[in-house]
Amino acid sequence: MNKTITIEGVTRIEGHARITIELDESGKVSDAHFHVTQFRGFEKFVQGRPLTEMPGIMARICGICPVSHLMASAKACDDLLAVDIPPTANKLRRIMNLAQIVQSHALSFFHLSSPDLLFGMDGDPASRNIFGLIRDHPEFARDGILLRKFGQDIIALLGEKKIHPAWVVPGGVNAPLTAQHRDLILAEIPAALSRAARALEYFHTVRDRYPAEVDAFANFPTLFAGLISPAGLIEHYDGALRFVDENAAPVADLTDPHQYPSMIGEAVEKHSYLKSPYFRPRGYPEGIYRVGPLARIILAERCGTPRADAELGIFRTRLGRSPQSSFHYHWARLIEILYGIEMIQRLLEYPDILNTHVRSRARPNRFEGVGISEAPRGTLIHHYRIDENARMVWANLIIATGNNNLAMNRGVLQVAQRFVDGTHLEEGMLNRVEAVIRCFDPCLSCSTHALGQMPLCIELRNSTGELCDVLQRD
Amino acid sequence: MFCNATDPEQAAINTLLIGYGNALRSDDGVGPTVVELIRQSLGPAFAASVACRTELQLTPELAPWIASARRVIFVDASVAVPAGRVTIRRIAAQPTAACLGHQFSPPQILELARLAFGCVPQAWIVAVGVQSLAVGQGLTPAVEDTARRLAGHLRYHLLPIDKPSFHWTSRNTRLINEG
Repeated sequence: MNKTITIEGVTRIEGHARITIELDESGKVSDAHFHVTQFRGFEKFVQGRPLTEMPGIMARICGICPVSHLMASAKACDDLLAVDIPPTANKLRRIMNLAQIVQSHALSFFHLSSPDLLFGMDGDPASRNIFGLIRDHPEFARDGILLRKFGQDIIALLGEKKIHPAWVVPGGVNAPLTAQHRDLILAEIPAALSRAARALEYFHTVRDRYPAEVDAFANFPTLFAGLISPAGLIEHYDGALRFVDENAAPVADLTDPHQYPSMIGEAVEKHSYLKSPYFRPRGYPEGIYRVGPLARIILAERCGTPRADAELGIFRTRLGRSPQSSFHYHWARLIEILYGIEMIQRLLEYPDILNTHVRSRARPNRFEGVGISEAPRGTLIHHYRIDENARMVWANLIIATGNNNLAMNRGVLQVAQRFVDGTHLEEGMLNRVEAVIRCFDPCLSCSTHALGQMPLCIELRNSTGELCDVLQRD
Repeated sequence: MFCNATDPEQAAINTLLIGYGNALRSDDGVGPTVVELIRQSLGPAFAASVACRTELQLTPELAPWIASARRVIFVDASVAVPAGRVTIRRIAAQPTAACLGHQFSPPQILELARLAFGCVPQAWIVAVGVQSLAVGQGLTPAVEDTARRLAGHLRYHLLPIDKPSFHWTSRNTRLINEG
């Protein structure tokens, strides 16, 4: 008798999703799916709008990572204008993008995932949230709040508001950095570095507690993809889009963003609104690849900043160059927080950072533009076409989380097969199914996200609809 | 912009005003509008003692700001209050329920400030009844009028800046509601 378990309302992720687990007649897991149940439609309703509105509109895709969409959209518009933005604007955009990565990673690690790591996958669900963290690990939780605040404050200083700033525009940014704001940010760097270092120390005390999860959390060979600098350093704003194999050996480099369709295909599955991108030369679904912090530190030779490189050295000594378990996204995320803080400091110390020439102006010079940047969750692509009046006629977006869709689905199946007993449901086993998704830190919507424990009902029914077991969280 | 709530000596903000809501949903933006009106009316003498913040929603990183203040006033839109009317009530930190949504309520963010930074200020929530939450910028006339009166009253009661607590009586509320 076949059965299906449905986890409706996956918790501690950005957005709304559902997981279904199918059981065979013997109660063994036979298949599993991660369903994204939201529909956005931005690609359609931007049609007819002027290209100058695109960064502002596209940022509304997300309230968690609007800066990422600002970056990719502005780069696509730069391409349409056929301009090189001023060097200072390039640095300022990078600072905002890194601030976004720091704050987003802090939210993911401290608020959403660390409750599992510090209280255990089978810990009391009532404590597995930020309030539980504060009660039992106050300094750790405080560091998480303040690291997120560090990133958000930088975004607000540059763009006047922390959510949906309008500062990144086609051709550059709309205002230079002031000396006062630069100094305010620089003054916070030492404390932010200390907080990131403490988080890593804490992580090292718990990371070895979860060998079974390391073994089963989306642990399989795939390609990895992400931006990389010409020198082989980790990159979040520009550079080539590189695909590497499971041994970190380069498979392909995309240096012309316009050619991305030759490398990335987009499949659609009936069970989800989230598209399933794949590496086109290998076909679907064999072209499965992963993006995000783990992918970025696997494909880069090094970070290029001292503290992050030291931590990357520990990571590689411990796990090798190309660990395949998605459990290691957590560690990679912390390395990127460290890198982001160091790189913000470096960028702010450039002598031209206060230069007032921060925008190149031009009329549209192309009908097609592509912008690629790295969002906290991975590679983000905006592709626009405009008409002779500079109005949008077509758009295609490949969202960072979508790039991981195939891996998340396969990961859910792997965890379910390892931990879910179809004859009797326990909260901890289903929490692991959710926790593998949290490793990828998916962002499924704009400004909604779940923090802590949400009402959750998992029903186990047989093929005739008969209720066999229920697990209820209130 | 940055504040350090881990150092009690720096808890120098006398009054923190937080207006929150979505300014792209008509009257839902009344909280940010009120606080912005107050911000514009404050002279440099108040800069060190009154902090004005406009937010889409209450997020964890507000906790250090709240812990740094002696009193905090939340200004929010409400569908439970008649359109254009105002209610003001004192609130306290609330130990969180097991279920957390995607944003914090004022009592929850106060609790976060208390747990994480060991301080919780006196707090009030000012709720303004809304007429329309439709997509669009700008307040409806009735709510805009209320916003201006409310901003004036709050501004008046922020004086003097060293006043230790925020005194609000039912008469104040009546004055706003009766124009």
